[in-house]
Amino acid sequence: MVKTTIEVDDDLWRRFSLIVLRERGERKKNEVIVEILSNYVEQRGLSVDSQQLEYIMRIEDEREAFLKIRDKLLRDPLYTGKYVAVFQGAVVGCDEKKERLAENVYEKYGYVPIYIDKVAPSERRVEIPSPELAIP
Amino acid sequence: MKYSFEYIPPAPSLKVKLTNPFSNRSLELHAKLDTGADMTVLPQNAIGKLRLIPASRISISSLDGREVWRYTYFVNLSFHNFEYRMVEVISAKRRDTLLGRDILNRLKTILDGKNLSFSLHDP
Repeated sequence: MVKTTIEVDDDLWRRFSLIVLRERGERKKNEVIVEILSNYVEQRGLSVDSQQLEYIMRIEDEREAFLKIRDKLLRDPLYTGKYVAVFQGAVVGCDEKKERLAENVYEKYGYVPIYIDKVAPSERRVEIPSPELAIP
Repeated sequence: MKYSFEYIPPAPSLKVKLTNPFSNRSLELHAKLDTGADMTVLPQNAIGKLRLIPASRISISSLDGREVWRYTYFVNLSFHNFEYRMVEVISAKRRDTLLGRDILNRLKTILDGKNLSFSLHDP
């Protein structure tokens, strides 16, 4: 467990305290703050086991390398609009089809964290409107 | 194929086999056909069981328009006589799999809601 101190605006804290008191009762603010932190982590896809977390940290490093060179790749007709694979900070593959690219780079470098993304001005967005199932 | 009565109302659902592309780890799960989903979604615990490695990060827009990040994974997917290699999927806190349009658009799907049955063809 970590004990930490944060600075919060007086009015915001009063409102927060009032809501928690009304909804949960006395001495429940800590519980609600932990819930808020957990949801924040969950929304960013990081509520995973330690092995997955390690893979994700490595993927985030490769993603950072990709973002640093994205503008350069966008100006290059060899890469723009295609998928690239970034491994150890460098582009190691490029293909119009992400499935083929993934297969090729995993076969060449092993099944390790390799970042694969489309060379486009903004990040990929998808819609999954189906409500998630509440597990009792 | 018959609709599954595990959903209310009943929904087109089938058993799919998911396999790690670089090992023999595999899982069989129920998957609901979901034409509203842009891509296929796996239950979160399937990622660990299959020992999949993340490959990318995308932004997901959900029912209420909220945007969240999700990591993507490549997996082999098969059902009936259909087999797809290196399908990019995401995971979510669900019990079932959602078979999205990334897979459904490769097939001819006929939904007969009146008779609670459906069929899949690759003409």
